[in-house]
Amino acid sequence: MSSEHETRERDPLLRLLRELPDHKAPATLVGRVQGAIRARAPLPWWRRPLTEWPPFTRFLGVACGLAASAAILWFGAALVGDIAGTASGWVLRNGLPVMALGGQVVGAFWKVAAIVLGRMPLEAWGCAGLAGVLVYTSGLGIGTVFWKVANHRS
Amino acid sequence: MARFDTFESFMLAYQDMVYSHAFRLLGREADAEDVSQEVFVRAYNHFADLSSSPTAGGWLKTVTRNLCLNHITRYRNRWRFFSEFSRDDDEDQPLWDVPVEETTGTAMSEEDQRQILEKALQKLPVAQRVPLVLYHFEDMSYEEIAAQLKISLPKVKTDIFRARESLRKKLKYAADTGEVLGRGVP
Repeated sequence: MSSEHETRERDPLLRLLRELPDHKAPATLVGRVQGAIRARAPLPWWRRPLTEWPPFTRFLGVACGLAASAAILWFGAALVGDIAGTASGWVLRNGLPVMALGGQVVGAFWKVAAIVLGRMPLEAWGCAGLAGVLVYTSGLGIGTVFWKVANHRS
Repeated sequence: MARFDTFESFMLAYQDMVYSHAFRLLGREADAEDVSQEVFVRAYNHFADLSSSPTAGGWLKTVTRNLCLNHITRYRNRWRFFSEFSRDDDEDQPLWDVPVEETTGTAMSEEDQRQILEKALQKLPVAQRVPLVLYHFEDMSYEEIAAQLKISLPKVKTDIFRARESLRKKLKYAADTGEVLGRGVP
């Protein structure tokens, strides 16, 4: 260590390095720090998540929430029942035929797809696989080039 | 040891040191400013302790160093994925120490040399600049640097050696060509 110390003392480069003065900090730094401190200042408890509320307030909040939910369920049940009754009647009258038609369309599509895929020769499957691999690797290559160009610093 | 009554006076006293340190480690002004901001936000949270502490400077340097190394690691990992699969070729380099040469220091003024040195320092590869800065500006030992950067001791020595050699060559080139920042050969 002492030889290293001597080297540091004698070598002009190492002496210059040791004597390099500090850089001047940008004039905006103080303002930026003050802004960041203000932005991170603790929020009042009612603007924080429920888990960070004071215990009693949290209990009160949960109790009020449960009571409100119960009231909505209790008083809303009749209304929901009415709406549900009306809606189910409409679905029985109009919805089921529409759903049946949709099912027929999807079924027909699958039949056509099965016929086409079943008749594809083995070579076509190979070509499709190869094309997929080529698209993937070229995408990766292009992405890599963009990454390098975007992040390159001379 | 001065006691700082306001955080602003504390910042004004230490901001150049923190910013310089971050800038030398990161090599980019914008990154250095971001890290300096984060350092002082953390210092604000500990201001009650730091305001009268004689070790405030050391605390700030340590936090700056850690944040800079985190920053470098985060961005380096992304970059390395595509570009720099790790270089292990440095492991078996000879471990001789820096030869003492008198090639620098005569043709240019020390101020010019410092300016050239600062610029050259920024242009060093991260793998060389960081160990060099930790060694020369933080007075960390080779062993401490190896532990901090999680690299082998021979690699630390080799990187510092190469960094010094690069700086030496740059200074010598500047002296030979009469390059002086702002008024010489670009």
